[in-house]
Amino acid sequence: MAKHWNRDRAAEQIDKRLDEVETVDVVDFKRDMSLESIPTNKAYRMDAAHLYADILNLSDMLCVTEDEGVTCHRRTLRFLNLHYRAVYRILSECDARRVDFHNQRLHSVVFKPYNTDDGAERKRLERAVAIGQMIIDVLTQTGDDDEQIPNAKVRIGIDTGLALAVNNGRRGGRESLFLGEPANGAAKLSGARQKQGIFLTNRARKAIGLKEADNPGAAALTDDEIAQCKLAAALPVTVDEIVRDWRDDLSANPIGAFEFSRHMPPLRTLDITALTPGNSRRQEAVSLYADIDNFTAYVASHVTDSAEDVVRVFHVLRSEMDRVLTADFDGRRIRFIGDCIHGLLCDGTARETDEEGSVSTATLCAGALRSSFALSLEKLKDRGIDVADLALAIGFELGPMTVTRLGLKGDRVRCSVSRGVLASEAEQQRCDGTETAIGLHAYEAGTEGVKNLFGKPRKAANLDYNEVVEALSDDGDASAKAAQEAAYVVAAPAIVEAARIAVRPHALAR
Amino acid sequence: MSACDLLAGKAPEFGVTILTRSGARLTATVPVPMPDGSAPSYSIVMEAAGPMVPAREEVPVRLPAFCPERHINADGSFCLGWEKVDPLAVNDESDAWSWWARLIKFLRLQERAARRRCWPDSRAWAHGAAAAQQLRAEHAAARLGEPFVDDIARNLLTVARLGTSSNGPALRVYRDGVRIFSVWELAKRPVNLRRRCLCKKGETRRPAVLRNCGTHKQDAVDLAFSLRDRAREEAKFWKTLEGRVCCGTMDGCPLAIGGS
Repeated sequence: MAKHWNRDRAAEQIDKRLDEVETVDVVDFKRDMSLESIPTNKAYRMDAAHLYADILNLSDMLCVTEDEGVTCHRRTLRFLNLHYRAVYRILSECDARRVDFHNQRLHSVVFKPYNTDDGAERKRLERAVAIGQMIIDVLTQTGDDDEQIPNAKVRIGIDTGLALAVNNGRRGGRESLFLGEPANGAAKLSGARQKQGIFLTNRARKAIGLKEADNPGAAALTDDEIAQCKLAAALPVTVDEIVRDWRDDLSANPIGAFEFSRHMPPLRTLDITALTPGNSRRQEAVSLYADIDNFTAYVASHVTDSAEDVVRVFHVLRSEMDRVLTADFDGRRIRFIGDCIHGLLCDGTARETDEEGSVSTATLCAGALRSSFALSLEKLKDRGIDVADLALAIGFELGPMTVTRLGLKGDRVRCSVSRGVLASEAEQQRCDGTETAIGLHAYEAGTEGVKNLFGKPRKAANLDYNEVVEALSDDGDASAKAAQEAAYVVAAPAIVEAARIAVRPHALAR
Repeated sequence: MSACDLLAGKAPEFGVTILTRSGARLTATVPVPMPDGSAPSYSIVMEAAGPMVPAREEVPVRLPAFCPERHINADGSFCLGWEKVDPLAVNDESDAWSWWARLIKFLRLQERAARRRCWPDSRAWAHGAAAAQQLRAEHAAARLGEPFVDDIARNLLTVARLGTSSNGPALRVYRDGVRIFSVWELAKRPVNLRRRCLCKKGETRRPAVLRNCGTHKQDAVDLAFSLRDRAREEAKFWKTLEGRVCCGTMDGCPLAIGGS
């Protein structure tokens, strides 16, 4: 059956999601509260230091061989697995909370001491800096020479302030997620450049008594500044102890070899919770990122006076993106990354991916995501919820994809990393909130319709579902034609036939 | 049977409801099914003059009252095609079926244009008399073969008038910004007749030369001149509309640029 999007079906689901968050409870986070399993309609306002650690040499690992084959993926995943394990140890020993590992990027929060203590913010930041330095120091020792796994080069970004802690994930995967400027500020600093070191936003610099910097992304903390933070934080563990424990753990629980097999499409049926290094998936597929534009500014302007609306908007928009990807287009969500969804799509058989078909499906899915997003905003507005200037940026790319889970047993983190994953994120990042971009490999594998739709810049604005279906169908794309026919046959049989005629309008000067 | 009779007879097949019928005038509600399952409804007036049936929105609600970029004439009528080549007359049931199919597709293109703020495909005829030059270019491209047919269909070819010599200025033809050949404007011949031919035969190991490859030297000239004349006619078309108010629904509209 053709994969397609339907406005009425989407409207019904969006209404259900809106009903789930009709009443929302937003409270200040206090000592006796738990961040585990936050209900969908609840959020905590939390003052904390946010730390992002970016492993800078991940793409070196991925590009170490000319072809992106099994060896390249094995080594990259082993590289990440070794470092994830080490970072897990640091965070648990230093009383920081891991929010997520998203491939090369770690997000964690330091929310103790609470604001009831004197100078709490400064203490949290000093602790975050000390933890950041420990991550850098430990990860210079957690490579594996025997397996040609290099040490990790790390860049740390830190910010501080009020963020909203909400429920992340759906059904089984309920973890906390933080929305707001400090999470975003830290992420931006860690991902801004390739220079290693610890970087603080001006807000954070001010809070620990440092001078504001003209360009915080270029102003790494000095050795003296870090030393002072380490002294003040007095972390309960040393780098040597962490590395020793990490080695002991590695001998006791060795990382098995990464073994890959294909998942028979559709990817929707892939049970990620059952994956381990020895039972990983690898196949040609499309990686897609859809990111809500202007969401950080939206949170910042609503967090104090109407945080309930933030929770509503966030829940409705993300749930609907997930539904479109999964239910309408048989894709698999890998994870939510804040206000962004990362998913995979694959058409084909157990033995082979239909690359052209997968790209067409991804193009239709991108159109549907944009249409559902616009419909969600419309419905949120109808219920009197301010949506400001939220928009959606989408990027996707085709290539060999991996899916597995990394880290320690019992606390494994899902991971999907490949050149295509990084490229799809980069495609999304070159879009504004009206645009969809396609990666080079997907463009080359796409039908003539796909190529015409995106053109030479491989990027186009306002591609909603109707536009994608019509444009691709007119150029003979089989997936789009099937979706078009499924919709038109319901209206009237003549409409299906009528859709095939070519119209060449003219204009007169009268 | 009159054109109105024929159209009224075929209307139900498309889910169209005829509301009123008075002589050669019909009013109808036309649902336009979209791929997402929605079907925006248009109130359309049709006034037949013999077999030709111009249509327009009864009151400009969903569409602008006038917009050349959206192929809506000054009197609000839709330019469903170019009379010279497109079969727009309604003489029998088959024509009536095609007319409705054309109208619905045209309105669907309008829905897409409103969303994208540009005409959504490159199939439309050039404005006014420029359409004749476009047709001439298409014929020349057809004789030259691929990739010229596709180039014209996708609007990838442009022409620039450069320099001067005893042969007059040269018309330089570009594909997506890359020069592909030039012709002398005054002498009406390719600048380089000894080059490989522009057709597929020019790509072989022993390539055909433009001078000796059938009609292709003349086809190249025709293509360059038709591209030049199309641009000139387009400019004339917009000149005649100077002072008209832009509806503001299309990005880059010459009326908006001229009026700003």
